[in-house]
Amino acid sequence: MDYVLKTNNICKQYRNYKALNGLTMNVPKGSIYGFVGRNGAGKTTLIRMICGIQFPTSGGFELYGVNNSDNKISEIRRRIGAVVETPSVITYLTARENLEIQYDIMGLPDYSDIDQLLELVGLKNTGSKLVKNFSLGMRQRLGIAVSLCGSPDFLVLDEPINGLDPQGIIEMRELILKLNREKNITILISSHILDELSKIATHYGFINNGQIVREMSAEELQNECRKCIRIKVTDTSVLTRVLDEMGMDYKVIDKENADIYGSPDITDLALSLWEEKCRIITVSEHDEDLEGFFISLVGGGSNE
Amino acid sequence: MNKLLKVNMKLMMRRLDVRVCAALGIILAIFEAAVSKHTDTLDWYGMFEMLIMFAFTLSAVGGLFISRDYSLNTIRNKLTVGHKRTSVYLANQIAESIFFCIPVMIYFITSVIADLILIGAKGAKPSDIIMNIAVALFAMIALSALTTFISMTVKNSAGGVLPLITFYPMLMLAAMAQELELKESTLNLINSIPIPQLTILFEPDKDAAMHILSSIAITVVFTFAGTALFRRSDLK
Repeated sequence: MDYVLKTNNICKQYRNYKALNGLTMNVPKGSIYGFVGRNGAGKTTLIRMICGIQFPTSGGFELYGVNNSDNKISEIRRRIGAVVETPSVITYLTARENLEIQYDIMGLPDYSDIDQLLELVGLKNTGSKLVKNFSLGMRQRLGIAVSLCGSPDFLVLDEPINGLDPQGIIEMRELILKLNREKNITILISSHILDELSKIATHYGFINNGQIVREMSAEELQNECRKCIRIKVTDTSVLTRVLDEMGMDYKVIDKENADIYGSPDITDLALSLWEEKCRIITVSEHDEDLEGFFISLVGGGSNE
Repeated sequence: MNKLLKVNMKLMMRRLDVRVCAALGIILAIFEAAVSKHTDTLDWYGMFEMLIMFAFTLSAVGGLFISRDYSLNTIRNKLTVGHKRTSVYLANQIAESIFFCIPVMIYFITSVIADLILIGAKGAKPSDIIMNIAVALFAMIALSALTTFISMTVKNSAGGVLPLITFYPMLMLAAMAQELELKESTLNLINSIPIPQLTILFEPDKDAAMHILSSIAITVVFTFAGTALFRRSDLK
């Protein structure tokens, strides 16, 4: 598999606080990589490093196979676009002028694509309205338009739907999917709104205390989160034998608990277990979403 | 770096405060000439009196121009697309130098025209005046280097105000150099600082070459130090 971004044991220390603590993650080419973590987990720190805004204390990363300590990294960064936290836009200019400035920064030959970009983010009709008079959602969309200047093939979005209204969230989701599917742009997206993230991400990286605790594809996550019956018994070895005989798909969690997928006949199961002298303690329906999976992975509380 | 310089100049042209500074060059020159004429003190070195006040204004506007890049986070747009930090710093430094020098040039041109109209060429010694103007311009470039250094090192809105505050101790040193009987070595040290240099241009500068050299030294030191610090610093 080709990777756009690979980090290798990357660390970032601010005096006594470790923002990143040996983080290793891989962003596959063509993916929408959902970067999930609590406040202060280290998401923005990593994004800042990728963008060249901050430097790692130790470890490093590769962008398109080029190491961050390599001189070529500046050249490679031309292939990425980013919105880090708040949109970086000039408030005393119009949306179009902001894009013109970004085109000038990148040394692009003409402004012919600007109208197309403004249309893409839904800001074509803002005319001479200055950015300082824009709503937060409009600024967010302009920030994305700025990051799309020069047609990058890797887009880094840090909390892109912060401050957007429901309609804005839907539009942003459609935009991200469109960019990924039609323009084949790899997208690294960090978000606290996990429900929204679960609608678009093809891969996930779960970060906690500056480390990746789990990296998985959306399919793997779906398998882990699929509907099941969680059963607590006195002996799971008996349970597994019975379930095998019944031809059921299951997963043993520990000595007492197991998840059974599909729709087992509970009466048959209970009778079979009774014959084997195995008691059922509890049975419950279990349906985990991304939020639940995240909480079960990193636990409650906050990093702040 | 050329791309960034072009962007800086384009943004400066858009700013009302920058355009006001250029207009202020004309207004101050006319004001100085008119007041001096009225008080019968107009001569060819009076034009240098207004420079300190002008330098303060330019430093505040120039500092705010750079600090805006941090407060709006637009500096990220430059780094994310692969511009080297040295290029970002030098583009800001050059833009600031241009911004400091052009209004001052406008001021000098207007002053010369006003003086020619009001008192003619009486008392004018072109070589001395040109030398004083050269000292003033190099001092302005040194001040622009100091402004850029502070704004790029503080990295927030305070970086726009701090150069202005820093100028007050310099002005105090200039006053001390003129009012107190200091040792020659102390005087030389104080006179190597741009603001005190501007205060001694009210008459022909006797150490013009030395003052220009010290301005160049200040420019080089602050540019190198600023670039080195900026290359290693973490931004938000």
